[in-house]
Amino acid sequence: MILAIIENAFLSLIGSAIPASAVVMLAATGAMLGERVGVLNLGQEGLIGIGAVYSVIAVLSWGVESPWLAMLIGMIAAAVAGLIFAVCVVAFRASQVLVGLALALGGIGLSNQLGVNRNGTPIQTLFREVNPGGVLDNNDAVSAFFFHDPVVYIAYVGLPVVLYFVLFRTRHGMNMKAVGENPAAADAVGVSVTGWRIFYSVLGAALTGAGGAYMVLSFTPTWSPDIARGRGWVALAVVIFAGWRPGWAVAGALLYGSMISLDTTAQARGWGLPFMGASDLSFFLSMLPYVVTLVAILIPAGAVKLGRRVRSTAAPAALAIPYSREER
Amino acid sequence: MRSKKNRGLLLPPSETISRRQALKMGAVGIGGLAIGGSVLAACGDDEEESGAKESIKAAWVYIGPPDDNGWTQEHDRGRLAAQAALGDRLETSFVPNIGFDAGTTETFQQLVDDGNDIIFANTEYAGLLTEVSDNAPDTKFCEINGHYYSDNLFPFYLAHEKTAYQLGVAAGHLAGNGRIGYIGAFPTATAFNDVNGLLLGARSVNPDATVETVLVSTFFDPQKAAQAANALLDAGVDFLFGVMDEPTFLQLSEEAGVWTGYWNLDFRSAAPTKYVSHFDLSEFGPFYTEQCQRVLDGTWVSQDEVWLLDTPIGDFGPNVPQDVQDAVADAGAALDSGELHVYAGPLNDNEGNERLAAGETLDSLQAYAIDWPVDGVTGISPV
Repeated sequence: MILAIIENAFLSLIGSAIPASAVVMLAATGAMLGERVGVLNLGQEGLIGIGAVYSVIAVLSWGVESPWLAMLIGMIAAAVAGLIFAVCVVAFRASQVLVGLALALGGIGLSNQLGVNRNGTPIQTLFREVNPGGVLDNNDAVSAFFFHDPVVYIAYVGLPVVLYFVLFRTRHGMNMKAVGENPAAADAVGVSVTGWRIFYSVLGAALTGAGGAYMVLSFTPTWSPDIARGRGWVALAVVIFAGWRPGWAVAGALLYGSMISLDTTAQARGWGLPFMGASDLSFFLSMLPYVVTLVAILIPAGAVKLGRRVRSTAAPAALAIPYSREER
Repeated sequence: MRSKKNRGLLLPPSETISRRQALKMGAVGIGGLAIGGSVLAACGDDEEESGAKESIKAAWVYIGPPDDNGWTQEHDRGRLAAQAALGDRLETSFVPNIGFDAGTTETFQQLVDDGNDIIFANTEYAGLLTEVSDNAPDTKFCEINGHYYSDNLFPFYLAHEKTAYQLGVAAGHLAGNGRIGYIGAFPTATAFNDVNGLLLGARSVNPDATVETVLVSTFFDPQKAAQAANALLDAGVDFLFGVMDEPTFLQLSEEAGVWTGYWNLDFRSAAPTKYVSHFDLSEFGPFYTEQCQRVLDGTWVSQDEVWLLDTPIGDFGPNVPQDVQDAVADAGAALDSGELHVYAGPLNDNEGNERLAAGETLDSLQAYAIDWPVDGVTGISPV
């Protein structure tokens, strides 16, 4: 009985967490790409907004009828913003923290401005869920993990597998890590630190933009100001939680997504404490994702402090440090 | 007027004021005097003594964007209606996206300083507004869903418990399993009148009907609304309604094949096959026009009870069967004639306490102050 209740609760939470945090997953993967080559982009929040608003513009103003094309347009817009960021911090060696914050705030402002007159207009060009058809029955356990749209599978399965393979199984990945850990050594063996850093910053920005596009093309099919609402910052936290490892980012994003969904799911399912209903706990429940984020970040930090397995969870050694051949 | 303007200046401790700063502040003071003087001069005109004015300025403060396809858009339509009715004699402006923070008070103060004769607020700003209105006796204020009364401020709102009841009658017919979902913002009278009206209307048709509520602590956050809608749809409701300012949940209902309705305006395009009806807010235009006209005539007076606007139920969606439409119309006629009451005892709240004894009823003014959900509503508790 108790087990059935817990299983039911787990399934309804995870079922709504998976689509809810696909955007976090995409942004975390994008941020991780940049950070692996030593570029810290704090502008995720702004990139989500830019990716989202250009997808909205593509659908509502340019008449784009394919969600894939709308997402691509959002990704290109975010990539352009990422390129400006990368040129500032890599070529001109400006402070990554300052330029990143400027991108976060500027991106939010720009996207809100572009979204004027598009608030609340429903978007009909949407990703459709993949229906496994006769292969699987549509019961609770199955529908929690399947019956999502294709972007969800790309975000949670495709990207982490590809990134894991590239990072840990190829020479190319070794070079990436070298650029992030010891750019002088990479430079010495002929890897262009500047080129690699710019390329992966731009690619990372495009992935984050895809997260924003996903928000408006599937999860909430409408534009609204400040659309990211903290998801960009959570993505940065997920990267730290994951110790810069793609697989762990999936766990981090799902943990965060479950906490986000807990508020509304608990109310809809009538969960609560004996003395307090879920609606009275609403503010506490909506605070939980951030508390969990904080705790989750402290765990790897604590591991470092205790000297356990430091190597695998530590940040790339050259993260956020501009590289100059003359100064090495 | 002038002293009011200077309230906004943050004065540094006097011993640290440099000569340059003192000069600057002197200049501001003189500027303020000049503005104050011109306003005083205007007040001395003959026409002012009878109270009538040639033309006035009116401003609207909006919680959301005027293109939200919902609540704020309907208010802005009302503003434009007043503008059209009064022509050159009325100059209107609006400030969108005003939330609840210290900047809100500054916004109202700015509008007073800009010489607006009357200011409308399209959400309850409470203390953030009254702090300004109490110090601006020459400016009139109307605050929607407010609870503060003074010589220059009164609240107005909608008698929407009747509309919710009528939508509830439709929901009682249409929701096969009798389960109605509701996305609310805060546990206030607005939410209680919505869920109570829905439940009592639905129970007039299906005695086993229930209303399941999710509160999201905001009127405009499509992501949050989408989460709440998905949670309720996944839980299995057969009819979904909400007080959200934008129509995201309609679209999600359509995709889930669940009947849905909207608060603000006819938005069947978001749910082409599953749209039921909406709360018709077209009374804002006449209300705004009348208040501005009264300021022009010099006959504007504050009220000592809330000014409630009629809120008819809107047109039905294409797939609502005719017998359901007829049942809703019958209930509406009975409510209007006074033969039927939304709140008629005996009624218990959802914690089992008797709130209305047999034979007792609540009218719309009493419903405006309601703070309890009737038995059968879940997810929201008495305040």
